[in-house]
Amino acid sequence: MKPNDEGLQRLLKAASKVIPEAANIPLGLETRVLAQWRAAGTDEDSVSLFAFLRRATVGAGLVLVLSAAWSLARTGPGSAGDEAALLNYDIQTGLTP
Amino acid sequence: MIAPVSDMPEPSFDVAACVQRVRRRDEDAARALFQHLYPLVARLVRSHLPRRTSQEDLVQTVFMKLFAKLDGFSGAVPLEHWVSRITINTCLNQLAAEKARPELRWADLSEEQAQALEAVTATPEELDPSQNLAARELVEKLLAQLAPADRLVLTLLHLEGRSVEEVRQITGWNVPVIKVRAFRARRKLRKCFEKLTEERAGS
Repeated sequence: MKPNDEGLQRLLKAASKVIPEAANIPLGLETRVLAQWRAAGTDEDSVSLFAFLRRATVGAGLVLVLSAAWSLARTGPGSAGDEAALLNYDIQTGLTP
Repeated sequence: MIAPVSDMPEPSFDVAACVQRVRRRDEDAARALFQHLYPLVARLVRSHLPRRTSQEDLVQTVFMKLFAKLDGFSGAVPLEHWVSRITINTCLNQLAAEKARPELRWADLSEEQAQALEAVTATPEELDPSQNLAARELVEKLLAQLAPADRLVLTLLHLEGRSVEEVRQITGWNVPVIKVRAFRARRKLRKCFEKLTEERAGS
């Protein structure tokens, strides 16, 4: 081992004997962290409410589209409803002088 | 501030119950968790602190990440490991943002650091315990010249005395990566050290 290697090893060994001190919690740090935590919680609540409303809107839209499609399918061209309406119209026009 | 103290969280603290209460938005539990984890987070941040970042600001950032990710903590690993990993990754990201790593010169050393350097190079004996603090500061200055990942692996292995397995748990790197990175980082640190000692010899 080179002298420099040994020197570096001794330096690292001496340095490792010192553990950085955590010290006391700085004044105001706990308050700031907890305030941010509370604010983040409020944000999360609004985010979840927004997500719920978005899902509800999408669901309602889907129901609307499905009911519209069902309604169109029932009253579409060639359907029994249309034929009945045409017959009614013919009768009415045939009866009128 | 550096002192030879142990600041691991107290073992009697019921971590699981506290985490559950924090998840239910219990502020007293959040305060207790903050106070319980502060020594660990502060010590890690102090060990891996980027040059241009305030320790307090970085601790605050770490705690916001911890609280934000607490729902993702499964309990599969000890909370302290999970916290260490988030803290170290936060420091690592901050270190990576600081691209400039100025060269360390002999003139940058304090009198105590210069004496510690002279002592380790001049004699084959261990340093006097009173010089340990200067040695630590000198090593931190030397490490500041390395890339963040190199600095991290050497700090964990050589200054904090962690095992390769612990480094794996904290960093998420696999064992061969850790060993190769540590080998290369030591080589770079040795070069920085040699440069400094050569400069001292020339001065």
